Amino acid sequence: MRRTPALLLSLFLLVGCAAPFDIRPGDLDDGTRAPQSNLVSASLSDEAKQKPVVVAAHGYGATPYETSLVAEALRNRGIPVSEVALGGHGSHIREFAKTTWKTWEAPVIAEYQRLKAAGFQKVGILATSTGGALVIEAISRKAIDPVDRLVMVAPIVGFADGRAAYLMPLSYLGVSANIDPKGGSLGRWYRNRPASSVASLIDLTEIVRARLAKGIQFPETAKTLIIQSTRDKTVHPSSASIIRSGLHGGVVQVDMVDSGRHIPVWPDGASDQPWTDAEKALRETLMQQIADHFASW
Amino acid sequence: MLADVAPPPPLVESSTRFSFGLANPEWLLVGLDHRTGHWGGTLGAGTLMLASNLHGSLRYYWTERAGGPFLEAGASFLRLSSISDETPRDWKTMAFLGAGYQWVFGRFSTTLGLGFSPFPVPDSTFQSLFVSSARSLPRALLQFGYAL
Repeated sequence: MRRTPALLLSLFLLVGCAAPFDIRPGDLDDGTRAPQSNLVSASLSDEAKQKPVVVAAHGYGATPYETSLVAEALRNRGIPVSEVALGGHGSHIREFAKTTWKTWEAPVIAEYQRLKAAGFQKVGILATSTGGALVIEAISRKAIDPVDRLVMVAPIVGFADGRAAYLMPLSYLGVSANIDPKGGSLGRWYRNRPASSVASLIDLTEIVRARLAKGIQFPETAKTLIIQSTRDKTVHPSSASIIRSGLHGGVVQVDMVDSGRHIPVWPDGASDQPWTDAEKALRETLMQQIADHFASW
Repeated sequence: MLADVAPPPPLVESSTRFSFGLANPEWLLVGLDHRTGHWGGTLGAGTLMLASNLHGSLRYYWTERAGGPFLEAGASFLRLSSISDETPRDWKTMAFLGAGYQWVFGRFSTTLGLGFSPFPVPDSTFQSLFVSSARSLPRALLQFGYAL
């Protein structure tokens, strides 16, 4: 009988004493600045429904700000963009910790299906990082059709940080995946990365790898563009070739770019490291390439 | 007088030990470690919480006495933990080869091992994160045992 309280105390110490969240002024984590999706499904005319429209899905822990510069470039080319906030992103970090990849994915699928139901013929997808994995997962089970135009920037099926597999036990030693957003990224990326949410992200990548291993069929008319930085510190650069190996049908183009930026088409404010002239030039080239990709439809 | 002389210690080690430790690719492990003479083996289970494994190895000890250097060959059968209802639950296999040394202090033992990086059987382009991570590190073992 005396062993029971000791056992319970040990379990409590192991799992009950989670480190409190580090929430600072201006953080997205406080839940007071939840981003709104900027959706076009309800606002476009019948005339527009014959032309390409794009659904943009950002990455884990981010907001539609991540894809905003590319979205603006697409709009300048006359291509409407629905910028979708992933499910749960923007809620208080305590609530975000309870979400899973299914929560994150749901609004992307919903907007895609709304556009199709409204009669849009050419719905393409732009996805960054985890957005790419979510879209591949949805396409693999036909929640989203294998689209004719898909652009993925740094889609994640593998982690550049070799500690990812060991995160759960390491988290008990105080290791975390938290980041330190500053400047323009403050309030636009979560500072805290709860272990439960990283576990769900890992689960997503394992599921997507398994689906890619079975092969995901696209129509022969499909054109998929994958852009991947060779020195990405978040997504392992091999992710691009792994995804290409699993997508069957159509044309899959992988563009490995010489960059250390996780998303080389981020807006300036996404990082406190100033963008060099070469990085800005690369960004312009990539945005042009992405716009051409959708406009060619 | 002759009856008071303690019998000499056995020249041939034979023991079964409960063991626990850290290893690649077995991770945080518990199991049994048995040995008779030159030959021994381990059976156990390991975990990284998001994935777990069952593993075993065969060891050849250089001497028949307790402890000492050994060569080993083993395999780990790992599976992802069921994080969602979509989580793949197929078993993946990794094999490993290495060498080590075991110190024995009474009923206690400490074992260190090192070897070639574990390799998946079969290999795949779409390998799990946990297999890729194990493969990127050398075979390593730190194990503590207690003779039953």
